[in-house]
Amino acid sequence: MVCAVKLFFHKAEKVNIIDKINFVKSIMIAFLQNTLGPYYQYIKFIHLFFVMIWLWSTAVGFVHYLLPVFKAWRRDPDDDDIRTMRDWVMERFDHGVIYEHVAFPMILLTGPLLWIVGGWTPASGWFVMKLVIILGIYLPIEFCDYYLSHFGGNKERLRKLGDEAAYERGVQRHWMFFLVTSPPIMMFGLMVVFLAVVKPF
Amino acid sequence: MKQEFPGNPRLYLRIAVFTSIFFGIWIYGGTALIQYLWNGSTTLLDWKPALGAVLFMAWYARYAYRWMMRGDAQWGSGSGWVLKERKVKLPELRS
Repeated sequence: MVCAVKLFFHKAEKVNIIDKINFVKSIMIAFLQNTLGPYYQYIKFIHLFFVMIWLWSTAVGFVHYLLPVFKAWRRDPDDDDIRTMRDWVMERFDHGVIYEHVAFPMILLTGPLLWIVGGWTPASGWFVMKLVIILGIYLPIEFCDYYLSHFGGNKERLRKLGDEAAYERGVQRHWMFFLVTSPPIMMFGLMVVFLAVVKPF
Repeated sequence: MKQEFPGNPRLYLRIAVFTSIFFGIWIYGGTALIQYLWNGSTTLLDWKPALGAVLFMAWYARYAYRWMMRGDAQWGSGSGWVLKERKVKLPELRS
């Protein structure tokens, strides 16, 4: 369909397609800036609100429920009572992470709006570094997290399938994921907020 | 079904070092490259930011390794906790 449209313009008007696309893009950006410009602070409020949810919604559950139970399991992996508790907190956490996973798309939506409406460019070093962190670190982590928490890796779903080996694999895989991703999540979450607020360079 | 968890100190050390190098190159290198290509800025290519990036990578590797070791109970005895046997009912969502 897109190829057909491009061919139509090229053949009918003999216009350079790249210039046409850039022109359309400029029109769209100007429209967004003119329409949403007066509401920049409101968009920023929504963005920050969801950033707060995204950063902190899992903290209490992870630190005070998941971590102590999983540590107890690692110290005594053959204890069935600990494994039962472990499985329960893991499934509850899968469910509770919904807050974070609703907040993240809202951040991805409002972030570019702030970028366009605010007129920020890569000349702002803080902005570039923030984008690099979000796109290169948080996006891949969140994609994995969505899968492990809600889709193929969802523990309740694996349990209902009746495959104990797959369930155990799922729990262990998710725990390894938490161990590996918790340091960058904590470190770069702080850094992203620092960059956005302080704008150091 | 009992399966052995694959986490061990050697693996965590490798992960910490690898991720530290990757993050350092990605964040520092990516930012410096984009700024250079966009407006010819070489601010980040000065020795101070580069040194800061290297020091950060070293610190981050240590921080990540220590976090994974503690998080996976490879360190610590858990003496701050006591396991109490209880009879509980665990709520689950209806399907």
